[in-house]
Amino acid sequence: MLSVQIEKLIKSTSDNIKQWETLFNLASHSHYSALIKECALDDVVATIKEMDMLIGSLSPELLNLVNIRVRKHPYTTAYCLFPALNTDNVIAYLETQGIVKSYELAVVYDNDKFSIDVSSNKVSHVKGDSTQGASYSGCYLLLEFENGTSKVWYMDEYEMHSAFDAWQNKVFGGMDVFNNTLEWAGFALILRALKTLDMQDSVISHPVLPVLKSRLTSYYSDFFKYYKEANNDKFASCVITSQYVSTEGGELEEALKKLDDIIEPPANIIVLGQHNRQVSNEDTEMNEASEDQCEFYNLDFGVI
Amino acid sequence: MSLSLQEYQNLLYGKLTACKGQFDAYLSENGYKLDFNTELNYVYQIVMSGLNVEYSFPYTPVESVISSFLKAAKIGLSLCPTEQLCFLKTEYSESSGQYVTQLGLGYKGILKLAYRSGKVKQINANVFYEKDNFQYNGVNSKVTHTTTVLSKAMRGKLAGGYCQTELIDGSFKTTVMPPEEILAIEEQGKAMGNEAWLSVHVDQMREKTLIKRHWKTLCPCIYRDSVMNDPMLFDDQDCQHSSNHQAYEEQFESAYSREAY
Repeated sequence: MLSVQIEKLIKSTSDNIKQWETLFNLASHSHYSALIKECALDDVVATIKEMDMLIGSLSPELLNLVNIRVRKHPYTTAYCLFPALNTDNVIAYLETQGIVKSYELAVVYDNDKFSIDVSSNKVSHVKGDSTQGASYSGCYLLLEFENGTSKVWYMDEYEMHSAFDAWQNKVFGGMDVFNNTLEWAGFALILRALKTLDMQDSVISHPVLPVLKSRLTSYYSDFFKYYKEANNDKFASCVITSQYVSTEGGELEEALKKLDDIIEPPANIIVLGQHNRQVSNEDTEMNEASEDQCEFYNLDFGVI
Repeated sequence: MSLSLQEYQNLLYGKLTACKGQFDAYLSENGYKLDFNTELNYVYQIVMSGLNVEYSFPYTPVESVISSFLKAAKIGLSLCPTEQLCFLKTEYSESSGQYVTQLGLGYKGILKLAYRSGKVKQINANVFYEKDNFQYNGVNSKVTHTTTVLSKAMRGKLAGGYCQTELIDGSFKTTVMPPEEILAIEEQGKAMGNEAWLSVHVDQMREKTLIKRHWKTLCPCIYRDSVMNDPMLFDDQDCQHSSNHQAYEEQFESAYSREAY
């Protein structure tokens, strides 16, 4: 049952009342439901507005792609909402759109019988005895597309730990936002998959998916980056010059690091060709890495 | 030539708006959908974000910025920074004796161009480890690569990487990279302070590198006689190592081809 306060907030904030009521109703039946009441009303409003802008403008039904969860603000420790992308719902949507035929999401434990044909994107996975309490060695998400192709995204246990640690400490303020390892793995893997999903032939021409994918990746990337960089003590990493910084990546960061050592030219003067220099042969040989540097600067959502 | 900031902004904006006709002509010629004003805004912001950054865009000839802007339109890729399809970079030009702005293709841009061609069914890039079952079957065949564990700790040392494309007609194009070459690129990335190369997600970085290398082979196969074969869209520096590549590939083939088993 929705609290009157939340109900009023939804009605005054969003046009997508039905969808938001459903989302909050679902959240109110979870074990953290009591914490939703602890969230500041401003935060609830902000979350509703953000998601409406992100997804609601495309189709209100797309709001079902997320679950409302509660996290702790890493600085203030106040309870806040977190719209967590739900893997099952995302894939169900892809199925209704005729993109995906079936999927498999699993955590692989040491006592499972597991084999992956990486070159063909095929997985054979027989679960072992779950009562033995084996540790996990990785996770995977296998999508079978309607066009007959399939694609598997996977992570080993170190990547899972690292990504979990990054989100858990820097974004969730130490709270268990996800109910179990599988749910967390699904979130991490769907983020990884989204990065290149719109390159699939069947997705390119879809009227909504390329925009949706772009907005979702930007949203979670910005979310992660905001807390990650604010948590970082390095001056250069904290300085956000502009959202365009990622196009130059490392070169710009290097320049920022040197800021104190450089005698700055007057800011209002641009001298074309001023920074010319004689380059040695070594300089011309480093470009493959420097190009990678440009592009791969961001750790995006901690799962690349 | 010295310009005030205002003069430079006017110059850049004026030159960018002046090429609208050419921009639109490229789009209609190829049927691509990009919004001129949006793209102009991207490129303008990108260039100006390099203000006071050594060797960055504002200190390169404006013509090279315009040329890169039009090149992006020609191949129909947006310069939107969040999309990361293609990007602007500066490079030292031996011929002009100064830094110039150039268009670079990101791995996402490469994938988009590849799938957009209508000739590609699927592209796979992966690295493999010593304990994986891997077999290289030649440049026109699919590789064999299986493993029974996901944990890298159980898979041994990095043994190489590959990127393979299955074309619509059922044929394959495969590019392989030996570990020495991957690690050499990785070292350069680390030396430049790129934290992603130092993270546990390093295989993702390696896979992106493999996609970029593969594009040199794939592009001429799927875009014959078209704008995509503009040499500027390739990593020119990479070509300088062609003799090394040859040697690496021969070494790789002898180690991982069927005959080696």
